[in-house]
Amino acid sequence: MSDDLLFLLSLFFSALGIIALLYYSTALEPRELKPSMLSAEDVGKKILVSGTVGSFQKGKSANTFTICDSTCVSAVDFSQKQALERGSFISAVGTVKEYRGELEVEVQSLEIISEPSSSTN
Amino acid sequence: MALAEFLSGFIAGLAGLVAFVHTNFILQIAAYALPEGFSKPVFASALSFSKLVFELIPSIFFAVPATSMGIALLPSQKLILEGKGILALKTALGAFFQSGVYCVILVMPVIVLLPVANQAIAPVSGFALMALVSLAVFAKQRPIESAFAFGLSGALGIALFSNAIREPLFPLLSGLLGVPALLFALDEGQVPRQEEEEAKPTINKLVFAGTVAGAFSSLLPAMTPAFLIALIFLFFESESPTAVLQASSATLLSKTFFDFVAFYAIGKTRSGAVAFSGQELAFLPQLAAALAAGLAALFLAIALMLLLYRRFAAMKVFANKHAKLALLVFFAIASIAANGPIGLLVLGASASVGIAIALLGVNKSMTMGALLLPSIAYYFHAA
Repeated sequence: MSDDLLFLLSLFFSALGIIALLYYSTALEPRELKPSMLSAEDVGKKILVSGTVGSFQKGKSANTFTICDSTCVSAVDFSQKQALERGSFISAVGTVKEYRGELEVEVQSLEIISEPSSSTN
Repeated sequence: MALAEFLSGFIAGLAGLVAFVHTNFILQIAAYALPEGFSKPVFASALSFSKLVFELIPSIFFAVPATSMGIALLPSQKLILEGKGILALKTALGAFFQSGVYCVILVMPVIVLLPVANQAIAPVSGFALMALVSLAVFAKQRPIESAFAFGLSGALGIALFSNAIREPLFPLLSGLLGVPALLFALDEGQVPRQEEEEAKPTINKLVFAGTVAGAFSSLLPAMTPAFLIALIFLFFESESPTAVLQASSATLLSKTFFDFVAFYAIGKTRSGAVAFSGQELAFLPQLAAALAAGLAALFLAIALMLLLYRRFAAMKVFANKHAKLALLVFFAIASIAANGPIGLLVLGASASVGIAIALLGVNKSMTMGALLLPSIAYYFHAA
């Protein structure tokens, strides 16, 4: 293969790769959902879920907690950056997975919107 | 947003031009520097592939072994002494390109086959690794000397990895490969001008075999590209420098690609980039985005290298005695910078083993005992 042909084909395939990346990148943008809206169809998808912390347990390798509106969904945070208080209103980005037959959000980042004392929820 | 991750990863891959900067080191910085919500798999994949291409420059033209490449580009040193450095670069780029295309074709079959193969091999993986190593060592022309060289470098590796040394790979690989190459070439005089030359036609079966070997490398522990290449040459006996380069480049590329796939298919973490990406790779859309970003970075980097290679070829850093001595000093300083004074000790010990193996006259792939023997020992100790 000549240098010129290799150069042109490389540019062409690079453009194809970027188009594929843009196509799949919709899967990287989190979809905003409430805990009660989650279903089995969301498994594997990245979501932004907001709600009140129902329970919190600090573990050796991960923190586990529930995020609630009218129903609760389990969440697991392997980064363990933040301890949460019951009643805090949080917003978390994560991927939905199935764990022991239940839906669970594996958290990649989370933000505490309000602490329990100042929470309006 | 994905474009931002892609571009940052691609630009971070330019660090490959500085050989001793390990991918894991860049990822450690990125872990703190990247904003929340950034797609780690897209960033890590774009970084890994662009760095793989840019690492060709120091590995080929300056004889500095990149840690991710190990022995794979050793034949290029022979070519550069013959004034064929540009041929070496184009050969590697051509093989990267072709292997990238094969990776796309093979990805779905591999996703289906990997779990089945993993289930079959997992119970005997340590024994399978040992059998493959024995095959690679004893099938050489001088099996006793090869086994001695393999054992010698293996003993060095075991001593090194049993101690808490921060960055062992750079002084180890520089000592085993870089220092002997520079010392033996010290009095060879001027390196000839690197002539412009079209790449040799790709040997399809070698590139395909390298790609397949890389695709299933995750099944066994310690499957370094160098070891895979040694295996390929047990079956394809053409060992011309360009043939070795084609096979090794294809294997390197395929291993980088399928390390990402292996996490999705069998949950194994075989590289720092995959560990950095975390659990996101367990989901098909995220894996697809990461692979698309990686391939886009690969092909873009190949195109960029075809535009810029003449500037690097003209630098002649590997050309005279003073430059070679300066490179030796650089190895020493970089080893100390990475590990403190013990880094120099590691470099010296590794260089001694590397020189001994070179003087034995056996295949230099035996130096990879330094990585393989500790892995085998660890496997049986852990089991």
